[in-house]
Amino acid sequence: MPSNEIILKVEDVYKKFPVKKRTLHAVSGISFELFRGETLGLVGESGCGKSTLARMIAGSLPVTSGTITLNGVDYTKMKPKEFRKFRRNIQMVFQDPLSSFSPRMKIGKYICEPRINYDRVSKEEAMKEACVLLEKVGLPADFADRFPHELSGGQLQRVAIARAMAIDPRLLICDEATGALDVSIQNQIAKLLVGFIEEKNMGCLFIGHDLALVRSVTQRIAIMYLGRIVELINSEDLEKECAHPYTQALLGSVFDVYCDRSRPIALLTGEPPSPLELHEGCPFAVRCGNCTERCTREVPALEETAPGHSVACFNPVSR
Amino acid sequence: MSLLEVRHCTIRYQNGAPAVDDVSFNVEKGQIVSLVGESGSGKTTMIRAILGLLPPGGKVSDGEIILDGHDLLKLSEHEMEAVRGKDIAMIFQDVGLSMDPVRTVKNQYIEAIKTHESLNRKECYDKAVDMLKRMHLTDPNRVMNSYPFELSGGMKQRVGIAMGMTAQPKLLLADEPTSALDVTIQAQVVYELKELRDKYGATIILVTHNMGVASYLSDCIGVMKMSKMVEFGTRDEIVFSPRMEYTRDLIEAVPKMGGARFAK
Repeated sequence: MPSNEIILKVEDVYKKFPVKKRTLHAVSGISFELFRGETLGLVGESGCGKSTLARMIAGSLPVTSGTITLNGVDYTKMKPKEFRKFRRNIQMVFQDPLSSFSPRMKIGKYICEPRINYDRVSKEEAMKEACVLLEKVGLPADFADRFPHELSGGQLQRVAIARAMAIDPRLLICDEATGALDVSIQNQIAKLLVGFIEEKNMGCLFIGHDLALVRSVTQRIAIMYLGRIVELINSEDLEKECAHPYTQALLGSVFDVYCDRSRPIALLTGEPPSPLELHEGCPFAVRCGNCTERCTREVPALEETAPGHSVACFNPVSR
Repeated sequence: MSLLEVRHCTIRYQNGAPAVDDVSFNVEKGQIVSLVGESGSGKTTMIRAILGLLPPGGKVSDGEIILDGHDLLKLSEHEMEAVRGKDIAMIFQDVGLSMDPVRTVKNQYIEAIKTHESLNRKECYDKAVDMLKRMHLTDPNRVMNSYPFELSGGMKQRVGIAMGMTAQPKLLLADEPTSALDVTIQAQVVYELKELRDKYGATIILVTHNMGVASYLSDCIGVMKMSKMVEFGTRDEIVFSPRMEYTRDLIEAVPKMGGARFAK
């Protein structure tokens, strides 16, 4: 259960990349808070800035402006040497397990590494802990002696989680952590992650594109569009309460297994505008059915409409 | 008579354990049939065999693949070339990767048409533009003059479907055509595939691991597990009353919008 202790605070973060003589606006003024023990989902189309945001929070990409604080410490302006020690508080699990492993490093060593680096424990002790962790993520301890190519995608993802957990981070970032896995394995990994987050009482940022899956593992979901959060909503209320036309369009694009085949597909036409040429007004205006003249002039701010529910839209969908 | 009959098909790589083991199914004209299953279950190998394009070392060691009364496995490589693209076409998971990055869409598209039909360049161009329009690409002329990298993933996928459908093949094979796409773009591609069938009577075999897409589009679904077809039936049979435990588990595992949540 999430507490009301704020663990991560993102305030007005911007990221701009210079591209030749123009500027690519990857993230434009994002603010949110993450509570201890809470999992926040981050969804949106590719190119909307999810991963850029995640990388800034992980500290592997500097912010253009804004602050990110973890447990009250702003680490966006830390010196590299200082940050190296701080970094252990934030761990990541990536999408493609095989490419995030060194092919010549054995699984055991891979899990030991952070413990040896940060806590200076002996190799023997770290290896003992690694075996315990392996069993905890549901793998036999003798996997420690194997190479990554000998494991399946789901098994590797378990190892990646074990490594992230080895040094008790405060914040876990899962960037499409289940995206490359089969549905049956996907559920097991999701359950494993949720179990760890509850047990360790840490914060988690869960990036994904499968709305149904993200909904099932998170307490709240932030829907991103072109570098902005357009809606922040409790996962439980997603279907019934969502008010932003873009969220509705995303929901309309989900094909449920038990769907009614005669239902016509609700199509969101066009493509998102290029982040290189930001127009005036709401970024979603060109694809929006509720667009009015005001939408083409002003950018709607993210405003709380009900407890735990914020929407950035002038004409939210009424119910 | 069925358009396509796969009878007791067994496929091996380098004479090892079969990648597809004694698989049989029929596809009627105008149907959309989906093959679903986990990765490595042999779905892709199965449809590549229908196209006669197994990766090196792959061979159909037993069985028959009959299209319109002709056994495709008995055709010579030369005869098969005439079938490929004309009677059977294929759309790949990432159309961008199957296109030449240094040539424009126009260039590649016209070449593809000329392989099968004796038309001049202008006629080919018009035909291509017409196909792109059918795929609801808003500015087909711009698409034609673009290089693949200038198009978005959804646009490339639609170009791929348009190219595949140009020769009006009897059978369209689609290998994970929506997997690399965002949900909104995926919906567009699903829409195009559905329209191909409803409006133009295309017959489609769809390989996918997305049960939702399979459930929405298919008339029949075949469930594959470890090289075997464990269950084949109509969409309603598979989705609502699966007979095999594996099928039930597979459908159970798909996250659903109204379904259970793990997080408290």
